[in-house]
Amino acid sequence: MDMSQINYELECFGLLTELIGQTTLLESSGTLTVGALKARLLQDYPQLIGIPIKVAQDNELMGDVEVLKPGKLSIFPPFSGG
Amino acid sequence: MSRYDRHIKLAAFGGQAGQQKLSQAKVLVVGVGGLGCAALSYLVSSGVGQIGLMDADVVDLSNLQRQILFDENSVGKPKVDCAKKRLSTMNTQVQFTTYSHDLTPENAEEIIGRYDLVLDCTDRFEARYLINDACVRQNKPWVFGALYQFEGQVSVFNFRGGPTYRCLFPYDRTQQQLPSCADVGVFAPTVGVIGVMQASEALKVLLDLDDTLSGKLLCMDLKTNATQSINFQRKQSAVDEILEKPEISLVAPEEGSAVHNGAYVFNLDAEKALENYLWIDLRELHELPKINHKLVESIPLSQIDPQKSIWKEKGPCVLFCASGHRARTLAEKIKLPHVQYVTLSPNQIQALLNQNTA
Repeated sequence: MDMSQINYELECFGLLTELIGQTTLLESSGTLTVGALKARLLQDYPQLIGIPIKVAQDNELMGDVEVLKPGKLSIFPPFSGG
Repeated sequence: MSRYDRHIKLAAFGGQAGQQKLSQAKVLVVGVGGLGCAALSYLVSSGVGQIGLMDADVVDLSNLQRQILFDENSVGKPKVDCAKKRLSTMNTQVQFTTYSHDLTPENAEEIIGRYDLVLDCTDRFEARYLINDACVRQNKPWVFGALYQFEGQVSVFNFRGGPTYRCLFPYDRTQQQLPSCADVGVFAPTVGVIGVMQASEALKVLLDLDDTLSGKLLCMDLKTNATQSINFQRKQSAVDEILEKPEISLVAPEEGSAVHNGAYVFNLDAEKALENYLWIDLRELHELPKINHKLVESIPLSQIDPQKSIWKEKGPCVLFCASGHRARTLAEKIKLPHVQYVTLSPNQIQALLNQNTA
């Protein structure tokens, strides 16, 4: 794993904007997988517990084991309203 | 001149043959709320031949802010009847079938099997998974729309071998905790935009056009005007799991829960008479419809002091609100076995109590 300082810029959707903010900067000591990013978010924002989160980079949905390159990420939950 | 002249003039539309496709199409709209009203307006004006309307609810005053097929005279009347009456005046060539009940695991495949395409205009995760599974099993495409305050999501599922809802959002029991429009509010124009996008995608699917939202989740925020389209893939294992089941079932009910009208009654003993519970309405005093029943007590959430537990002195009780979100959150905080919750709507609770108690 790359151990240099990494920045992720998170753009949030739906309920996540209230719990995390519209955008936020997340610093990491190396690249993260989607699963590791979710664990890190849960640690930083315990109120996220129980909220399913999806992560996209460059407009592609990323699976839990995929590695996220530094830069912009979109994170969103499913919406229920109709 | 044809009433559909402006469509027929579009090169991509396919002329009279395109209009013929629409007039022969059968579309089911599940949920005649905000999304349903907006989508239906354009499906009907565009001349879709047969349209099914499904909703068990009656019109509430708080619906009129965004559910544009209803007016003040509609309040208290079944949504499907009011919508059919209004839509029939817009286009007498369209045939309507109304279903004044919910989609359930028992009726989903049979009803969806009668249509070419389904629009999900509901506000419940259970209904979405049910529509998805029935459409996969019946090999029908469906158009998804969902809202959160100023934001909306739209996609097309199960079209031309594309991904399904479960490929994007695998079932997660905790989703019950996500708030609905009844809990957190919704911006009326967002409902209109997303509903109209659903109608647009539906017409494109019926016309067999390319460039639909199959495999793409379109996210729009009307507050910031930001849009984003996220690509995702079909997961064959998620599809196979639906096809291999002997029959359609609701998403993994929790042990000990009973199901009424397609919604979960978590942890209630199905054998125990409903009158053994005190039913606690957590909604605020201004929220409608009011429920009139001797077993129902109103305790608005805003008036509950989190420092003082009033629950230990109470007998077995069931918490409810507009969607079940507030009820579940509070029940999980209280953590007492005699304090349960349900995810039924107030109208469903009224019907349940009327039917099942003396």
